[in-house]
Amino acid sequence: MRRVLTIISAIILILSSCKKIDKLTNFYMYNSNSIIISSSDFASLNADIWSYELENNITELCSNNNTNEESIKSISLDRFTVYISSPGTQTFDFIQSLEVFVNASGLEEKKIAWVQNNLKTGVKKLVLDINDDDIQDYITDKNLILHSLITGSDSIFSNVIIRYDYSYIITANLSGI
Amino acid sequence: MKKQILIISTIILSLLILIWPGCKKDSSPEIETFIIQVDSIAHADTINFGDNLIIKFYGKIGPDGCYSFDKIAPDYIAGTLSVTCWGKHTFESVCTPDTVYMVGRTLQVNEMPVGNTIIKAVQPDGTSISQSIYVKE
Repeated sequence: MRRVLTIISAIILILSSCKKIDKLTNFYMYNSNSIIISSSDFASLNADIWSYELENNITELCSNNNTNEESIKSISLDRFTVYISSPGTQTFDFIQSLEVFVNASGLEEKKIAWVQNNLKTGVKKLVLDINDDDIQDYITDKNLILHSLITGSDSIFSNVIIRYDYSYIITANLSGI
Repeated sequence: MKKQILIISTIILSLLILIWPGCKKDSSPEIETFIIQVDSIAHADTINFGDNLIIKFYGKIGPDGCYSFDKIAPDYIAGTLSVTCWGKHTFESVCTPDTVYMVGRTLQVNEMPVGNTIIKAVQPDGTSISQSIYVKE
């Protein structure tokens, strides 16, 4: 009986400790920004927009999760959702495709999220397809830039603001382990 | 003797198999990237905090259709946003005769800090053209 209890205790101990390490080594980074599609620029039904964020909070986020940038093992996209912020009556009906690429110093451009054809009509929110490629080198570069290519199916009559909400899953070694 | 010839033949054949694919000529054209000479940049003088700063770049990319736009590379250091516009020259045997321009290529910057920021467009010779933008609270 004592032996059985010892084995069960050992299993519980191992399982709980593994869960703790897994939780601590994976965490999410949430980002939100917006792009503006100018109605005059979109007359050709194409938009080519480069968007840049002056700061990212990756250093602080790593610190909050008991790790640091040097200990990151991989970063991949977890989700990418886009919303129409303005005008209030606008839907995504004017879009035929939307592709988002990442660029960083000295690296080849890489497609990370996209939506193409057969889009639902009348919606103000789209969940983009993503891949699970490791994009650590891009996300940790301070000159990370998002490049959006949009093709339209219809004209727009006023500027449209699209909000990008996206998150990355970061896998890192814990500091001191 | 026969065994030696067999071994030597096998080695030569193996080397040929290894070397032959490496000798195949790459048929894709050579590509060279370069910094585009920016003639002008356009943006608002003042924006509100939280608004996107929209900067448009103008300039000639190249004299024919073998030149194209490549990318925009920004770099922000303490109140100065330096932007380099990169072009691409593809060495094709035939190029369309049209001059290629950067007609208002757009960079949108999120979360501009309050106050003055210098915007610099880096030129091929290392100089830059600069303007400033004020972000009010």
